[in-house]
Amino acid sequence: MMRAAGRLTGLFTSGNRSWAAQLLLLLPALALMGVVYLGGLLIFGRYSFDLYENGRMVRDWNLDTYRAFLGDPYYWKLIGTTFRVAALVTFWSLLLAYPLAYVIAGLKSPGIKQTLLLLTFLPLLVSAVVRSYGWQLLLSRQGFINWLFIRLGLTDSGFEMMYNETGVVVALVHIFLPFMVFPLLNVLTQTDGTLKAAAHDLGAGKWRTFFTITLPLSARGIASGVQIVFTLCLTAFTTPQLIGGGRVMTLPVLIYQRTLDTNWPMAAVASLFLFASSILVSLFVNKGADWLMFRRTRTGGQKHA
Amino acid sequence: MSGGQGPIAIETRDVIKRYAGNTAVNRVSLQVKRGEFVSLLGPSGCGKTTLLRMLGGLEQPDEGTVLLSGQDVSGIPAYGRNSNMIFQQLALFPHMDVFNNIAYGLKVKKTPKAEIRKRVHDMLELVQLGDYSKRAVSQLSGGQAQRVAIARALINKPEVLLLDEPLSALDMQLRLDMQRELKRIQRDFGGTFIFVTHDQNEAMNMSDRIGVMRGGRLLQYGTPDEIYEQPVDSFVAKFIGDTNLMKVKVLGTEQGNVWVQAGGVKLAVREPATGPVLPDGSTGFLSVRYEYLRTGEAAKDCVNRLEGRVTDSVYGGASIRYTLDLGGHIQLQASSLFQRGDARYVPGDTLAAGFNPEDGLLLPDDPSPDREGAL
Repeated sequence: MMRAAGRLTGLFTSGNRSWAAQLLLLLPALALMGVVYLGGLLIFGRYSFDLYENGRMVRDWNLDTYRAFLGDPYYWKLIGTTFRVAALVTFWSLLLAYPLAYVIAGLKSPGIKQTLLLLTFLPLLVSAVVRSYGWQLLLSRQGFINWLFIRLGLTDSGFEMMYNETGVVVALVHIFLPFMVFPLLNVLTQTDGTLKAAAHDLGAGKWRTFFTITLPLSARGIASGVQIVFTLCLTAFTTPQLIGGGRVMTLPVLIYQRTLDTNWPMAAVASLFLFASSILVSLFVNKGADWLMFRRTRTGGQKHA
Repeated sequence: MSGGQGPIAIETRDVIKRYAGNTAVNRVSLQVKRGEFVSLLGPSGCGKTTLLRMLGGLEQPDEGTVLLSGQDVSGIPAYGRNSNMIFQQLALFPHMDVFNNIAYGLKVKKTPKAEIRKRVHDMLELVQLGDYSKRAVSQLSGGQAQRVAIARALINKPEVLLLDEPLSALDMQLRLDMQRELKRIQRDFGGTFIFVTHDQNEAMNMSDRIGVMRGGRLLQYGTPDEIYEQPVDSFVAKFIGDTNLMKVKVLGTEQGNVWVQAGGVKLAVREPATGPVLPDGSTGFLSVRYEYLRTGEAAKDCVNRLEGRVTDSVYGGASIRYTLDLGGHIQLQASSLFQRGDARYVPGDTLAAGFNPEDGLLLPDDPSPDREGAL
């Protein structure tokens, strides 16, 4: 009994960590990913080759649904909307999050820092449904924001901000902002203050220091934030559904509707398209970050030398 | 050097810097001549780094002025000054290769590309890193990173190069190599270097002048010889080199010698060449360097003769260090040159010791009771 216990603990001591122990440690996560995620993906992959005829699914090995999806301008318009919303939300969150993260990272007082962090992450404590309904109240034609605009004399009858892309973008920026702030904060707090001092010492003013030191060194944080927010936007369902009110058609909304219609082959094809494009965007952004960070270094050096 | 007129490269006048009520630098006036290698030496927290950062413009003094080549630069930030700093952590830009790190200062000044290429090349030659221009910073060894940091600063032809303990992270051998290397670079380059360190050997090895700091004050500023032979107080004496400090009472002066009493013995010491003469009856410190305390036969002819019991003997190759107990709570250390065949004493032996008046130094009682510098 004792010996067995000893052998068991021996498996986990650092010097003796065999591949079996490592596998054992990975197993729960692997099982979850394998069964739930990969399994689901495979099943959906299978559905994508089926056919949908007269309201019924027909088992088959057929590429017709792919052809229908990729050949129909309606779907391309919808893909365009999805990517445009995602791009706009990513752009605005980056624009809002960077100064915020920069200020928080530069704060010396831990009390103020904690408070600002809490305020930034507070929206995550409320469910996306509640937040979306909240934005409905704010953005509707009789809502608070339009009341404010009318009072300020910007408009007579109020702007149309519900049931269109503007509303969806505004609400999504609010919801996903923390996901942009966090990775930025991470890299900005890690950036060594003496690097900035060194740049000043070498003659660079505040802006020059920012663009040649701080910004390139935060490229990885920008990349992570962009990846997270962009993919979250591509797959966002609740907010486009509630704020868009069916008039802002994005891929997740389409997938939801097709699933309800029991048109699972089309839902599967749209899902796989979404999956593939998320991966592509991630790869692309990673490459872009490397390029941004080392553009003025490796290549520059080689050119000069 | 650019703009090199006048013998003074950089100067502070009564600069004061306070942090949250603590005075980090307290009324320091310092003049550094052009082409000199000056070390600011002191224990950590003595204000030497703060003083250096004020020289470089990374901090601004609360009071007093900083003059660079005779021009008042107080209030001008670091990027407006023709001085450059080498940081303790080196602060090389991790996202740039060696070439771009060194070229940074020139690029900021919008120097033509061909000139940048030439000057970076020259700098790499100066620091003996000819082939390294394409290396990433992360691929450099400690010594190579040092050289890149030096090249990055010197390429701007600063009137003064400020070095903030840049060698402290290196191991012993590399450190000695880099000390020699820094001196060579300074000779070849011909600039004014101000070097902050807490290591007295480093300061002694490299400097034309040393400024000893404690508790925000500049206690003494002079050549290594002056600091070693004529320390202004017991702290400086103890900090530079090894010395025996005995609390003594001044008895009186006679033919250029001051008679003092330490424990039960009367000792004669040469009158201080500089500084105030201690009045009779006052207390002070008698400082005798380890190597000036003669032992055995050599002690016989000394004016001051002592005798003690050896409590410890440490063999150091060319020398031996004895610890002597003279009784009455007086312990002295003597380090004597040792050659094979010399008499060697072991703990328990009785050993004669002595020194001449000119080898001792009478120092005033520690004037500053504030212990902030002694951290």
